[in-house]
Amino acid sequence: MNRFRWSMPAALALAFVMFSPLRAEAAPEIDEATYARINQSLVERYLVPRYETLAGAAARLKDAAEGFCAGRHSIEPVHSAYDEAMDAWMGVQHIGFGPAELFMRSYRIQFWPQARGKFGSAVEELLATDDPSQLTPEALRNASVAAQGLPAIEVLLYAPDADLPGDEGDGVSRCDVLVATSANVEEMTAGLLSDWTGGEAPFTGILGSPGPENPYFETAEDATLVLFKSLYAGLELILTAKLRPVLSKSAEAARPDLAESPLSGRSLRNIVLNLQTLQEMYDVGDGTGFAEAVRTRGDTELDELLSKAFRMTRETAESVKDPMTEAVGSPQKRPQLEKLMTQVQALKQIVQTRLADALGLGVGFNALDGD
Amino acid sequence: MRSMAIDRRTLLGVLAGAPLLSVTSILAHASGGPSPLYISARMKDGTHYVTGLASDGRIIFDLPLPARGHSTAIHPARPEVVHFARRPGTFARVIETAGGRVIHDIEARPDRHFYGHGAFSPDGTLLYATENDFERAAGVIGIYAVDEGYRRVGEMPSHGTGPHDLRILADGKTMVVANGGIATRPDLPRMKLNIPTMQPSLVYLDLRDGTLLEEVGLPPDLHQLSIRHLDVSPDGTVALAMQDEGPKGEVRPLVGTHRRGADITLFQEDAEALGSMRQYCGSIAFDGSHRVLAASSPRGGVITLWDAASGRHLQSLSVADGCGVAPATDERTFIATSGAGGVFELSLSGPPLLLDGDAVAAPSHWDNHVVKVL
Repeated sequence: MNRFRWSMPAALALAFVMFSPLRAEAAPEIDEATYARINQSLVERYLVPRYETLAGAAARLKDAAEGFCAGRHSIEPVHSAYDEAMDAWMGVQHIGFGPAELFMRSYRIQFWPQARGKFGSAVEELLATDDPSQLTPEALRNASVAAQGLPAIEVLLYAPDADLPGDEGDGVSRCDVLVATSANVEEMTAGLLSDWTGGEAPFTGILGSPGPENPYFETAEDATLVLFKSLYAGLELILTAKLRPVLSKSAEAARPDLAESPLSGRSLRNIVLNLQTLQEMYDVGDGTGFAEAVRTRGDTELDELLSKAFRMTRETAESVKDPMTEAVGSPQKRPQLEKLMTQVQALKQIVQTRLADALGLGVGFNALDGD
Repeated sequence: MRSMAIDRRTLLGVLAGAPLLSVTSILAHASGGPSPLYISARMKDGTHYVTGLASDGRIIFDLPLPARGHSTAIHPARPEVVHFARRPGTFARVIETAGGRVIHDIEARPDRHFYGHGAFSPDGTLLYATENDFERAAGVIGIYAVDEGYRRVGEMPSHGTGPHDLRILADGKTMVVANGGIATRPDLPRMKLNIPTMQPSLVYLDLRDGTLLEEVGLPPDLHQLSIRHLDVSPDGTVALAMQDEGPKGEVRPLVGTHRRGADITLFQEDAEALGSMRQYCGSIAFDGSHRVLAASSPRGGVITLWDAASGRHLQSLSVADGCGVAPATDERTFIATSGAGGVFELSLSGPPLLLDGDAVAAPSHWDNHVVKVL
């Protein structure tokens, strides 16, 4: 595909060569083979293992919900299975392309922040139908997106008025909805994994075989660009949805109700896990992934800057303890959250400008964010 | 900035070769500098501008904006335009194009924001703007009295979510609005809130009182095609450009036309051309004859040309990050702008021609739309 890259005016290019001879010499063009290698390492060592973890965690959540609702054990295993599933989801929350788009899975697993504040009423609506036929897998797939996924399970488990297992007898109990919703999430995460790795046209193969006939990726560079945009989207989600609206302008104006996972008190844990998975996406380990290309180009300065920026940002997030819903209004803790916001903003900038540049990804002005 | 002196040759050329122009248009131009004049937002050195361009790529005026701009409404009789902020922006800037200066700023109501498009009434007394009543999640058309300092005098419902482009039909009585269907909130800027359930529509409103005259949608399996941008021809044909919010990798129509009382005609026969547009159309414009449509795809790096009557794909031209399109002076030719820098002239008979005025000498990101004044 014919994408534009800034060609510097001749005079500026000359100055660049004269003043940074090392960098200019050590910056070979990134070729298709390198893009293909980045893609392969990200798929095999980053994406697929995370989708395996997610599918496993969701299956355990479904089992735990069934076991609890059948009276075989206490609620504790359900709580820890919910946390495990959320932990795993934070690892792939930023991946919006491919199987995550099919059947609107990403939205149905967590329609957040779009439906923030509406999960409670969506669950109440399901409970109020008192009609078990509304909970069949097919009916639930077509129910309100807000009632289908992990935030609905959070409401069922942690809402202040959560009354589990709920009314026995006819109609729909809270436990019935919990079991049905957990099964729905399990089915979606199993579908994600099998669409990536199984069937006649696994998405790993589609991503690994770009070409003119490939409806998703004409070139390996196209696929790298999509992966890069996911990394960027992850940082943007932290900044624009998880931090900025919650912190608002001041401690007095803070909006804890807008936080992610407010009922289960894991808003900051989500952010820490996001930052961890995004850093691992940059540097998959063993010198593969995006980091490989940066190092191949000899840009050790950028590589060190990114590693440091990810580490410091995560440390800031770890230094504040959940619940974030209280921390935003606390004079002691809030400054750390403001610092976190500044650091995420800076990290996003580095990724958007310097990393995109180092990867040779010409992300068009209108193509990236048109209207 | 360049001098505002009238380019005599251009003016004479227009006067000689434009029998169809109204007297007011010609007079507006006689006092208004080069003709035709094009207007686009752009970003340069990190600052946003609204910029006036001559058809040879010369920059006529360059006015800084507080944030990213989007599109421009053209006054029908005098050299005055209104440039709107990109959604969810809250400013609109009134510019006197002959002098290239800002003469007024319109601020959105505190509980509204602009979507980036607007249009003047045929007599030039009212300005209409697509706006979001975000507390009620309802689209509205804001109405402003031009000669009262653009005072907001009312609004009418857009009968849909996320109204984006709007145009006045040639009958002078009807407004057509593209309700993109996407719900947004300013506190989650640019996050789309209802992709699973979105319902875009094209609506026709009575200009006098906002009465809903007609509403058309897309087939249910195409409900994720956001109808965003419009152009209209004198015979009442409305051209529409769409953006596909469905799963990536699929090929669905992105361009179509509509006439009152009929279904939307989707241009869907050329799957290869549609595939090259990467599920995204940025701008659409008729040429001067209103027989050819240009539809841009910055994501595909391509500008596609279509026969407006038959929906046949005529030509695709490579313009990296090309997004703005507007008719050029000759029939079947267009002006196109690129987010990667550069202003081009497009025709059906050759590759894009890079204009070599000062507009293209300095690197700048030309933003979403370029609009022709006249």
